[in-house]
Amino acid sequence: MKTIKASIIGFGSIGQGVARVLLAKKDYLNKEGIDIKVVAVTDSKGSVINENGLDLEKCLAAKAEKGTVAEEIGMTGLDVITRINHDLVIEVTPTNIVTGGDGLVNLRAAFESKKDVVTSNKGPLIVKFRELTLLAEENGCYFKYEATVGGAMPIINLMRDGMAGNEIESVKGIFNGTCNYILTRMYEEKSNYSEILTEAVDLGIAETDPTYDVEGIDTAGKVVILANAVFGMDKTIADVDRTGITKITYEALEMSARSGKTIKLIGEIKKDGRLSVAPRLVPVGHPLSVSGTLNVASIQTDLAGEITVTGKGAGSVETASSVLSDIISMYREN
Amino acid sequence: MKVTMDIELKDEPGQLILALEPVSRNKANLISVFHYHKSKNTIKTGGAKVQVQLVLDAKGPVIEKIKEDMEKTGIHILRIGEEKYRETITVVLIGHVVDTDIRDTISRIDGTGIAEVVDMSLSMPEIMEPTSAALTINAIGKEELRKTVMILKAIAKEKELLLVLPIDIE
Repeated sequence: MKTIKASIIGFGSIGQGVARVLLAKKDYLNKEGIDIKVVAVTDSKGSVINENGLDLEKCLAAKAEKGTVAEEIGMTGLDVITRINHDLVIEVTPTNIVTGGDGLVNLRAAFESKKDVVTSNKGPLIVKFRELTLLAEENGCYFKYEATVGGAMPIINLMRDGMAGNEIESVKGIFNGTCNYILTRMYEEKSNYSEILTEAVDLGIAETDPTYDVEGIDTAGKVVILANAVFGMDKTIADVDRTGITKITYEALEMSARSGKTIKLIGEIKKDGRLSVAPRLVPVGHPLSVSGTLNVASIQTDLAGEITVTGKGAGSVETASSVLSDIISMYREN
Repeated sequence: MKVTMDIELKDEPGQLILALEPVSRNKANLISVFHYHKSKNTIKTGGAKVQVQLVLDAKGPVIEKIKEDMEKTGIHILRIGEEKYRETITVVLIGHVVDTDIRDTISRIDGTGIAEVVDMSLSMPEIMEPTSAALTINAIGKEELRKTVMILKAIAKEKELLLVLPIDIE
């Protein structure tokens, strides 16, 4: 049995989801020869530390009761990464796609102190993908980030490992559940964009400031991660030709439906380097015409032809499932 | 009827005017002229010659007369045939589609001679609200369809309209 000492940096929805799946899958992990001992959990108020392993049930209860796990008030994720002896940093802090935010600082520190990283945080990968992968390589660290694209939907590892040997011509898909929900509901409810946006905010599917989702910025970020991680490009958000969904009308959806089509926000990566995000007409019944908050990706390859994967693009436990699969793939290989 | 005429000219100045003169004289409607320079579209004929594709709109007898007149001036006609549209797409335009001159949008597609708008539906919910339009466009072939999409993109950009293209179009 290999014991891995880990920290969970960020204890919001995804961090708590990680704690839940680690508890739920303890026996499964043990069967794979992996014992994950979480020695530190950090949220915005501070950290809780136990070098012999924390009780994650207690951490979850403390978060629910007091709104924080912090016992060491003011002790940041960076403090934990640099001062506490452990092997794996599970970095699940809120994302910042402009600067990379705290996530970028945390990831750099993790690699510099020779710690492996699993993250769901898109920002650092969008801003400094090449630097981070090189830093991980130089320090002999694992660096996995399946949860950054498509939540529960396996796509990065599928293309890099499961489809090894294939040349990937293009990838197109729906990478933002909020936009998919809004477009689906606009047609179902015969409503305009602003009415459904209000509904989505009320249900917690869209943020109060939805710009990041509805203007296609989030999708563009995922397109950049796929371009860099799978196609070996060196792209940033500025390289994506981007149009959001704010101008889509109910009438346009209705007209499209009359000719058997629907409108979806599609992110696309072509192997020649063209990256785009735009609303597109998708025939009903096409593999990409999934509804609600689902994500989907269609991968065009030279040998396997077209492969399509679909899954929940967000959600606490769903996203944590990708974090878990990264952890297992890292340490099972040993 | 719409007819495509592939002709071969000597690669010398003035040859194109010579070829177009019978078209003008016989009062045919010249829709487009494509000048091929040793591309994959050209038929191999050898020598310093260039191929030109004319798309004309005229009645059968007029086309026959143009053909005769061209041959009298030594122009080699490689192929002549009534054009059929083989590709169809439906696109959606959203924004001030009518106010930005919908007739101009359509005539810029039709004017290419390689594609035409064959169906259009419009929905204008309220004044000041954006209009949505679905346009069905026929094009002669895949390459012509690609060119038409480029024209549509330029129109959408110029008129600040949102163009929603089918998933399988580049």
